[in-house]
Amino acid sequence: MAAGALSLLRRDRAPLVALLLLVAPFVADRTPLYTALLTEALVFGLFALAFDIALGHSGMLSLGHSALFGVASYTTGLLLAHRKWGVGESVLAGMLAGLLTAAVMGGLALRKRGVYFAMLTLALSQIPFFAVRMTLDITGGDDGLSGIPKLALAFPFDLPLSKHPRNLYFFVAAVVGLCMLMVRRILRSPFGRAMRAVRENEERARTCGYDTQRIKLIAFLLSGLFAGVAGALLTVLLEFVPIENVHWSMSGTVVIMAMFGGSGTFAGPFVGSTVFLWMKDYLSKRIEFWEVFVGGTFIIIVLFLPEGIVGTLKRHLRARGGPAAGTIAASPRPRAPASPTSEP
Amino acid sequence: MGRISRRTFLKSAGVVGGAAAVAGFPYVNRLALGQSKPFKWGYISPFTGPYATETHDQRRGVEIAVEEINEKGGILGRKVELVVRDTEFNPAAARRKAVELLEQEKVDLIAGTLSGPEELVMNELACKYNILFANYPQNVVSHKKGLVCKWFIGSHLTPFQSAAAMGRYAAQHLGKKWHYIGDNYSWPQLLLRGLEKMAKETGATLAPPTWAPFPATDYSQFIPKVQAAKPEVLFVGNFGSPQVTFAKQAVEFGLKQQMKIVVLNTEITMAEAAGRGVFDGFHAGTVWYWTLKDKYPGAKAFFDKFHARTQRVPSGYASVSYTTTRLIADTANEIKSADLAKLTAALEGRKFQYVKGPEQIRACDHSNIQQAFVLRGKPAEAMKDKWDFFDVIGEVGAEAIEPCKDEGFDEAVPLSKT
Amino acid sequence: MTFLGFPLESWVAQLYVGLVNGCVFILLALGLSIIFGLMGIVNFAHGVFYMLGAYAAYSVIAATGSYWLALAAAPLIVGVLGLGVERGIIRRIYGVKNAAFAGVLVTYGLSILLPDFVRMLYGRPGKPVRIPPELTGDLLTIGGTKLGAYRLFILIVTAVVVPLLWLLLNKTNLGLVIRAGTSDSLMVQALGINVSRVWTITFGLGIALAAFAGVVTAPMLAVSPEMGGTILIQCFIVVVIGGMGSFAGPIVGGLIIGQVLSLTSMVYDVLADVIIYVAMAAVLLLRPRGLFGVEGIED
Repeated sequence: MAAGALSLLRRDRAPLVALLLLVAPFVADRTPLYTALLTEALVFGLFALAFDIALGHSGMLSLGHSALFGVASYTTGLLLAHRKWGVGESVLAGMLAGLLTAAVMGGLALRKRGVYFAMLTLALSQIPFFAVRMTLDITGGDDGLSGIPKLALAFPFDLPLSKHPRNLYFFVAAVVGLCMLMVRRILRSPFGRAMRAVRENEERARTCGYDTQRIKLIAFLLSGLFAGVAGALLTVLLEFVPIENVHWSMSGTVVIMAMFGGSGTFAGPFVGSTVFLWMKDYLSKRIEFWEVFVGGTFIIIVLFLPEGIVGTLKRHLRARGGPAAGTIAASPRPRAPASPTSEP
Repeated sequence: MGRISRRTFLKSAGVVGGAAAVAGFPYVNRLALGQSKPFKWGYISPFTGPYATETHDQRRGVEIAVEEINEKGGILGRKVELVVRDTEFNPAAARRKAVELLEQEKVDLIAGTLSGPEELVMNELACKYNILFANYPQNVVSHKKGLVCKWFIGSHLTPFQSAAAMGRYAAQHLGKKWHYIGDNYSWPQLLLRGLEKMAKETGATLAPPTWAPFPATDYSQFIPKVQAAKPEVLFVGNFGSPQVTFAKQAVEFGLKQQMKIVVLNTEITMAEAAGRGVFDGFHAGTVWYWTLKDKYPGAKAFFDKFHARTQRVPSGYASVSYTTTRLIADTANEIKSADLAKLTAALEGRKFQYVKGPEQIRACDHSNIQQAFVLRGKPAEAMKDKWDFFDVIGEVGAEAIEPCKDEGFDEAVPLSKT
Repeated sequence: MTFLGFPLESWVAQLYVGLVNGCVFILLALGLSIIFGLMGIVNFAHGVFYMLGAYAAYSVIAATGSYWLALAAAPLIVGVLGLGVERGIIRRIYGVKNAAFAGVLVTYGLSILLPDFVRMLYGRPGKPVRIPPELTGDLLTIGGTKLGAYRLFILIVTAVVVPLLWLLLNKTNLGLVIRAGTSDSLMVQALGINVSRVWTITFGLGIALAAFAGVVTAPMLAVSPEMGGTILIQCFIVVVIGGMGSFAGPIVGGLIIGQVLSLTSMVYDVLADVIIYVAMAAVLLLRPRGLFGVEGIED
């Protein structure tokens, strides 16, 4: 019986993750990882995972993800503040906004590859930023969008969200958990294999018959979709949309989080965002010149775990001959050998 | 290639951890606790980022105030305990940490901030959690119709007050052909609105403004344009390092000789960073300046304490955070209640005086009606010591502000009753 | 005589300002390009070393009173620091899978650590650095704008340093090894040359250039721990527009961006912060490897 459970765990880590997510807020407040921080870490973890769909899993470095995230945040925020929409619909609208923005950005930028693609996404991501500042009567401009009323979930049951950090946590965890399942599905599907083929060697993939442009575009759309969910969730969490959501520094932050945690892994983006947010939160309370320690610790961690926290751990664990371990939601061993540090 | 061995890693981790402990600067300042539950003063500001200099000075003002309050027995017998958080100059982190203060630490009020977005976040939380919010920097929220929470208390001049004060002074003494250069974000935009109103009132002409991208690191590309406009008075709307850069470049390009430069809001920290004599000949508005110690006994007491412990002179930010902290505590003690509604009602219309002339919290919008001071920069040779950057050459009184009705408030209705 | 509402003299002054600012971009972009183009490392900390150059200048001036000494010594001091950083930190990620990512992360960590370290050492308020008295004069006044000697000095200094750099890279043995070591390090190693030492020197050189830019601009703007922030992204854009892998690229890119910023500020100031992105997008769509880029660099 225990052996059966253990082997189930080895094959599918999802139930374990679900359990952890369920239990976490009850324990979290007693640790330095308090509920509000944990919730924010989940949102940024999703954002980093979405970003990594493009980079770690498809080989496209986007420096414009702030546009996808930010446009979604503002869409959700505007609907909540000005149109008094409900939470569920606003989040869905945010998700769609992320998708549409990705369609436009991808359509334009994917004409180029590599570092040129990256810089094009950076350039294009300035448009939403500029637009937000120019329409300050609607969006609040540099001060951000305020005026979001007290939030509550209406469906599937009534759940007050404002002033109830635990409820907010569960709402966010449920949505993020759902997205994680969907992403895992995608990564394990034949399309996921196609993405990885493009990432490994685009020319070779093309000669094998893959329509690489289409694959990249779809991957980018998916990335935008989930980044949109993350942006929408952050608006619900903050009840406010800071202009930073649509600023290029947000693109930089998500790149750092994904790489720091381990690009190409499934748990990496979540680990990266949690550690990063938590380090700053914890050290800023205790030390005056805390950025020295954050920067220093960050460097030390990277030098010790240069493929990202999860990426390097996976490599070590695999080197020791253990089962495909190191990520929380490991897939069953694929039949064809994929690249060692990048299977979900 | 060389990889870090485990031993090296553990050693460095030990060094980092040890250094952290030793060099630690405890942010949760657990002052002496009395018998009863401490009064938790939730203080949250951007202690890192471009305005760290000003917020650290702001903090020194708060600490002196808290000490004085506790010497007198605290707030209703409860010792005041500062619970401090750094917003990391990031509104999302600001909100998260404010929620931590409210939910985990269960603070009795929220105070601080420096940037507009942070102020808006705290303002919103104040009404969602029903808690007093003492905003230490210039308020922008009063200028955003309908957003001010009734539990919001302003401390500093509003942007309109700063602009009105300096505009009025300039119209009388410096000239009526105005130009404005500002960084392109909300606070300087509000300053401009204040100037526009002053221009109408005084009959001055205000040319279309010159906007620099925010954060501005270089104004040199805007200077020829400003010079081509040939204004009599150039108003400057920026703060921190951008202001220092502008001052240096104004000197370099000879702007000072061509027009009267009026910086709308300055602090000693900027003159210090620019260097001796850079602000020579500039006019500037400020909420408080340290030489006022010779005019007001309260200022002298504050100055002496501040200087004794830091070897620095206090900035206006420190004086303002000190004043508001003392104000709230003293008011609560006087009415013998810290009940939110009663305390707020008691603050409305309250007149007080700590480190300068008489001040008052205006009932309709809770902004602090107070003097603004006009400074003029001194040449390097005239400086008597390393802090003697400015002369106080004038002051503009409380009448130079926005009437309530112009901002959409009802003069007759105190904010707490809305 | 006016053009678009501004007198001709103002346009001349504006172009001059743009030219000088362009020179600063050139110095920074060359350093960035050397490190990225030759080592494949995206130096997220480039702006921070620029800031360190300004602070080193402040310290040298405070100790000796001489700006000229600072001009020579500060880049050396910071360059040596750069050597140390490469040796102690950066080289540990060579050969790692996804070393490019690790390079970004490590230099990002430096960009957080070093400014706060500067705050610890120097305090939070910025530091005053002034134009050396020999250079405070004006050369001429055009349309009400003083064209000071100091800005001309920046032009001259750039005009001297850039050819010297070119000579170093193209006419010396060191330069040869640097250039060879980046295109074919295996071959270079096989020839018995210590490639890792070359990389250390290359990094140090790029850093020294950044620091030099910092010393040169310190009298003109606020010297603060944050001063390296905005200029970093502008620098990246300059490198992309100019094109990677060539020497002319950063120079042309720097000059163009200097003027684009300057002229936009004159004509439509609200657009000034976004215009360089627009310029970059235009170049990328029309001529993706940049104006003087070398083919094959992108992948």
